[in-house]
Amino acid sequence: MFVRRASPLHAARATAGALFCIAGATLGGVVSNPMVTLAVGVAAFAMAASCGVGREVAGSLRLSIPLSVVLVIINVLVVRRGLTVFARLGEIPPFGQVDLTVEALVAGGLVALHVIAVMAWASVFARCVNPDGLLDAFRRLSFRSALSATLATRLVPVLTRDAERFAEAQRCRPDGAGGARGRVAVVRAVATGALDRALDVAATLEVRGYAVAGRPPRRRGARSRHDLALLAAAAALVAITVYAIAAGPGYDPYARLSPPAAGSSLLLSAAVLAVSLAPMADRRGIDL
Amino acid sequence: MTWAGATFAILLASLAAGYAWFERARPTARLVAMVATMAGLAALGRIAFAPVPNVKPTTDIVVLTGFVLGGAPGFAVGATGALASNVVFGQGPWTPWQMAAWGLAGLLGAALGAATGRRVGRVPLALFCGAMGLLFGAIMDLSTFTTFSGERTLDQYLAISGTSLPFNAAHAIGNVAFCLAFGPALVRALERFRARLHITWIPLEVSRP
Amino acid sequence: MSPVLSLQGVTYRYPGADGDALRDVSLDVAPGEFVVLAGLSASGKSTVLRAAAGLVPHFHGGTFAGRAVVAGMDTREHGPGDLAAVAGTLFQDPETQSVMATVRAELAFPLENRGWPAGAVARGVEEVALALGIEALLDRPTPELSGGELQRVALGAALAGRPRIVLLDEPTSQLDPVAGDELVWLLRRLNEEWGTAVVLAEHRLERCLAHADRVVVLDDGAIACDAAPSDALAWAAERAPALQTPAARLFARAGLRPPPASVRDARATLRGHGLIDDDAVAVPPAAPAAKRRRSRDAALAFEHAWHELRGGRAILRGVDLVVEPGERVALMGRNGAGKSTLLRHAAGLLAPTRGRVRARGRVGLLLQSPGDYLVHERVGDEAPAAALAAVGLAGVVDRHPRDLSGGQRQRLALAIVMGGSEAPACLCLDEPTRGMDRAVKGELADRLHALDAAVVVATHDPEFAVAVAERVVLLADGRVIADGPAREVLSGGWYFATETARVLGGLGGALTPEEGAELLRDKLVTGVAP
Repeated sequence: MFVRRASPLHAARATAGALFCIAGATLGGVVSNPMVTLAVGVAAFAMAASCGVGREVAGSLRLSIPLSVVLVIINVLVVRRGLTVFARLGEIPPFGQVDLTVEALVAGGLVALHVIAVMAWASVFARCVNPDGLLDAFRRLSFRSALSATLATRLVPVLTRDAERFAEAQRCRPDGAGGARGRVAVVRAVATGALDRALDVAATLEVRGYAVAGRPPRRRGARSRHDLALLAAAAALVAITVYAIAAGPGYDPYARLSPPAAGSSLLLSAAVLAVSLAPMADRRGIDL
Repeated sequence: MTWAGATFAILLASLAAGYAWFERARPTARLVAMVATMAGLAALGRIAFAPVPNVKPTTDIVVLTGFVLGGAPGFAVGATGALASNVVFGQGPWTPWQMAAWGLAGLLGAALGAATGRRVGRVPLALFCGAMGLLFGAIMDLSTFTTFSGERTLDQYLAISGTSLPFNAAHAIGNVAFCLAFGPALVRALERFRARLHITWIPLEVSRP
Repeated sequence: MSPVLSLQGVTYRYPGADGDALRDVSLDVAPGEFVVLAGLSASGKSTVLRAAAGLVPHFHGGTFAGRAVVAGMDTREHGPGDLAAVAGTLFQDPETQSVMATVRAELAFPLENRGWPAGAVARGVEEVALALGIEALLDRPTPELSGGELQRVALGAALAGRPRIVLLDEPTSQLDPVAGDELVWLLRRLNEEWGTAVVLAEHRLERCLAHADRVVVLDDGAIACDAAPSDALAWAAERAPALQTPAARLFARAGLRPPPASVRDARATLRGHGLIDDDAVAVPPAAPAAKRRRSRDAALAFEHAWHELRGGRAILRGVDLVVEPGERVALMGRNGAGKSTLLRHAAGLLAPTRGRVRARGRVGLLLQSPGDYLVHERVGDEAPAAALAAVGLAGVVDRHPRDLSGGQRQRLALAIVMGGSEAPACLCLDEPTRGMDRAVKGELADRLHALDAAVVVATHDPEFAVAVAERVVLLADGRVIADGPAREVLSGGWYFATETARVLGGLGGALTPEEGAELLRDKLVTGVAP
């Protein structure tokens, strides 16, 4: 999923990019103001476009929209609060008296916005943050666990090729591979073959000095401008989140609908967009 | 808000605890290689069966590895398998939940192994794997409930579980089928490897004439 | 001057094994020496290397007697982790020797494990990358690399800490000859420019004897011969003929001395005897076109077959190939020329995008790694009893297939492919000789001769091609560039030629040592002045 491209987010260190995306996703999931949440979502898509992964991140809508629809329906059917009823469905056994209220619909819409925003940021994370870089960072924390994870990621393509070769060998068998039985045999063979590979990998680890290994050294090297920009942006997003929860323009559709506080919402939304997109502006020092 | 925050904090704490347990056990190179390989296999299982929604041998692989190898490796295989497969499928807020759910499956597999002395028939093992599939589904429903739902009430959780029921059922039935098909063979292969996990060697003094 | 590696009376048995893997082995390697370990399969070469690396006994267990001292460290007290600082190790399989995601991380890993500070790690990585010529690969992800590149990276990781000795266990067996030769030359450079001692276990001695200071021959776990290359070849001529290089066998049968360690030495000796003439004008290598054949009764026929990938290149371009029943054909060409694809078309796994492939009857295909065919837990379940008996495996019916040796696995795969209700009209083999010693290759060649079916073998090994096939087809870039009798195609070439042909310069079309020896003896007898 992660492909190296020429963009500030790809060029920065994995930890900086990860913190930035997590801050954005948290903001998108936690703040109750619809305008701000919308801004968070738009920021994700805009950022993705500026990093060259616009279409892929837009593809996250294929997952988030169906999920949103389901959650909206659930919210409308299940939640009993709200005063403006627009439909009465009568008695439905598990849910009792079901009245569809506009407030519940709007609340569901808020949930939908949350889902879309969070999943958009998650998609940016998946495509722009190098997972191996993150595992490298974790190796300082917990050497053996992170090594297992790195090794597992490294082995997936090897095991995939093994499985393809097994499947091909099955097709070469004379009297056909017998569909399901043949496939089961391949799966068993892949599993046992994988364990043989494990022994070779273990020998390699030994001769690379695994047994005497301690914590890896602290990585030297100055932070690039992109690292600094993303870390600053992440801090700003966290600050916005804290402000929004504590004192900002909240929004509660129950019990009666009323529009959110326009001025402060707009201000906050603009701040979100600015903070998210600012690091994308500087295109210097990006290596592919 | 606080409910979501608290659950997430507990989730991350349990993942950290699980990995810390694995780390503390000072796994040998063989065990690390084995955990990585089985995690890779679990990830491969998920990737290979991606076209079929929610049917995958991953849970079985994790449970059976825990069954044979024990608690810490079982957890590590589950959590690492989730991580490795999400490199292909994409990370997201669901990643820690998946790691915890599969990690738990590995732990429970180890518990089963310890409780029965690793002697379980084919059918009970398959049913256990099916139950693990349902547990996995329940945890993932909990993740949707915690992260996204509008009102945190029991009704909402039940509604979410209801909508995902066909997927969870497919997962559980798939697990039972996979386990019936290759469960015992995988257990045998793992036990063969486990027998060679702890290496002792005997030094001999040869008297020179 | 203390030796960098010293094995003293090492006797070792693997856990659960019937016999000793090493019997009273004593071996000293001086600093900067290049030692080649030779011996048939299962003679103990790998075990000696593992003992030097400390894997035996710490990783494999078993019973260990004697002492192994590497750069002053006794392996009884120091495990492989400690020894890794002074002894680098390289195994056969490129894929399982890379544990990290990028080349840079792979090279840094052993240094970080040793607790070096970040600056020293960075410098170590740069130095080893430049020394091995892999600096262009530093930021590439490891899953994208080819086998040869991966082995060089693994060598880099083994060398990262500037060890005093490097131990290599058949590192070229999974590589194609070009990559294998590059690796061996790299080892020579390492040995000459940085004085690293090298202990290399190899089957294809002709590749590395020219660089070796010493050859140690192992037989059934004990040292049978420990001498300079020429002397070892002379010994092998009498005691272990299967170990001789083709050039040495040529000389032995022609009665010439001393046995040559390289093609250059051989030609120098022959020149000295006046047996070859360097003034002959270079003739362009033969590229005979195929005779017109009737494809109607052919066992296998390709008619203008193309294989074009969607959004990619054409792998096969208009291949015309007709194999008559009972004929044996060797298919040669470099990696990526289309040999494997051609064989898959023959077996029906792929269909040509243009043109046709016809076969009379079933076509059996034996792929590169025989282990891919082994899916059951009992040998008897894999193939019918008759097929097993035909390949001589009737005695191991109850064993687990993965417990068999390499040669036995290949025979089992052959039984699987040949078995079944209908005997195949044509048998295709894709590089069956990877990692095999000469004796096993000879057995395979004999077995293929005994078959009724037509045989098409894709191989990089000219000696094996000559042993099995009468006809050789050269593929390049998806096209057939030469198709004719082995004698024509393989005698005058530069790369596609047997070692005998290279020594004799294609003289008289001699391909095997036996033919070459006859030619030389004739020349000697007819009184060419020495």
